[in-house]
Amino acid sequence: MGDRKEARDAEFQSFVIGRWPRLMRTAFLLTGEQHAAEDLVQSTLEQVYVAWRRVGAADDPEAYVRRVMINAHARKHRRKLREFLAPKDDSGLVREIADTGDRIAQAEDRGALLTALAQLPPRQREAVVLRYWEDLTETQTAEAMGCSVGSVKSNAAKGIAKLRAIPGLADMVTQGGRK
Amino acid sequence: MSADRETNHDMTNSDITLLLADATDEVEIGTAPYEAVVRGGRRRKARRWAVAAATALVIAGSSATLAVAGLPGGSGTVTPPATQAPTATRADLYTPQRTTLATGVEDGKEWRVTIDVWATPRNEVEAAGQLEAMGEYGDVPSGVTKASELIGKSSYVTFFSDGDGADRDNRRPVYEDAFEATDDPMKGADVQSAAIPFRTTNEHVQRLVIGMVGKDAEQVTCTWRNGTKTKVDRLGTTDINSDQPAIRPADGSPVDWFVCLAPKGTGYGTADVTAVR
Repeated sequence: MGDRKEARDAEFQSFVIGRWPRLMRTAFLLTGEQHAAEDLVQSTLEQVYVAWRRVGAADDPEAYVRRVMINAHARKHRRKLREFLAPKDDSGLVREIADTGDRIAQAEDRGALLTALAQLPPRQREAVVLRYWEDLTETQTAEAMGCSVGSVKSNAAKGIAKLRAIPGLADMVTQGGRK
Repeated sequence: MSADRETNHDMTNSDITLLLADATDEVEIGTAPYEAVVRGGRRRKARRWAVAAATALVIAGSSATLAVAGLPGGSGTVTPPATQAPTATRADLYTPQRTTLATGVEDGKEWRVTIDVWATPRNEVEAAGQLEAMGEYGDVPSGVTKASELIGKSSYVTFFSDGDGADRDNRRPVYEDAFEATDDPMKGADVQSAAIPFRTTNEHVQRLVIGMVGKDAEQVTCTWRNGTKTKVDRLGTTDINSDQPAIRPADGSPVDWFVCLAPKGTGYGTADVTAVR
């Protein structure tokens, strides 16, 4: 259809390739599962493709992508969240603090965090991920979640409080389990 | 990552940030599936406002109202809401331009495909009036929730209907979207199409193909899954009553349209422009 379309396609390809790793990490925290994360990111980017002519020309395409992803997550993964991340063993959140130099133990710690994330209501989870992983401001988070700043504050605070209830969370950090 | 510019409480939760960052090491990033994203995006684009069967039933119900309210060629016209102050004529904005794209008979039952094209509302008031009129016609795009979403767009809906003349308005929306002034013009080999099951019950093969092409397309070839082909040529606008599949213009549409019906037992494969002016 012409040079403009080719240029837009090239821009979109660059955008997809460039943002894929970061989006995958965010999606993983939101969904807690590899395939669900891939589905979420791909679905998000498909929607971005449809609107790329407008999004690509916008000042902040990242904000649009975040909004699409959060909407898609809320719509598609909210009810499935718990089953994705249900504890695979009987220990639940109560586990001993293992040797932090042990890679297996480290993976278990990650599992504990992901499991705890899974226990959060979706809006708290979204707020925590956007605020503390994406490091968005409260205003940016509110825009992505389509809610008020007050709601972001409330959800993030509750989410953090629950994560801090994970036994040994502080030790994971102070003993060097998280680099 | 950007610094928190509104509050500094991240300083006290920096350990959470570290934990989350560490947790993301669990995910395998892999290669960005660009081609799959584009394929999926194109499918979404083609079916952006495609209507699910359940929704179609609802809209078919609206269409029954439509028969009473009146259609082009019928006994009346839809009255736009009294509260609006249209800046264009009502006929332009509040009545769709309807064109028959294809007709045929199978198993003794007549079928047809039509398109409704709505003029572009320029402001909130016009859009609100149009959305209400669309409701009466059963043309409300399934993705639209606010009238403002219609502004600057010329919405269209293609419908499939079958049955005898009395049931002609028992129609199913097939393909919905909107033309925008910023759209790249379709030309040459450009084609966009969607396929649906021909009959609503007990048929899962997508036999009916509705598509759009540029004004310079002279022939479209639909290739079915069994390898057979149906060629669709451009006919004059005076041949609208012909049952022969053809590339046809539609009132209000910047692109031309074609309809292909696969033989029984096979379904949609591809649709390509095979001749241009």
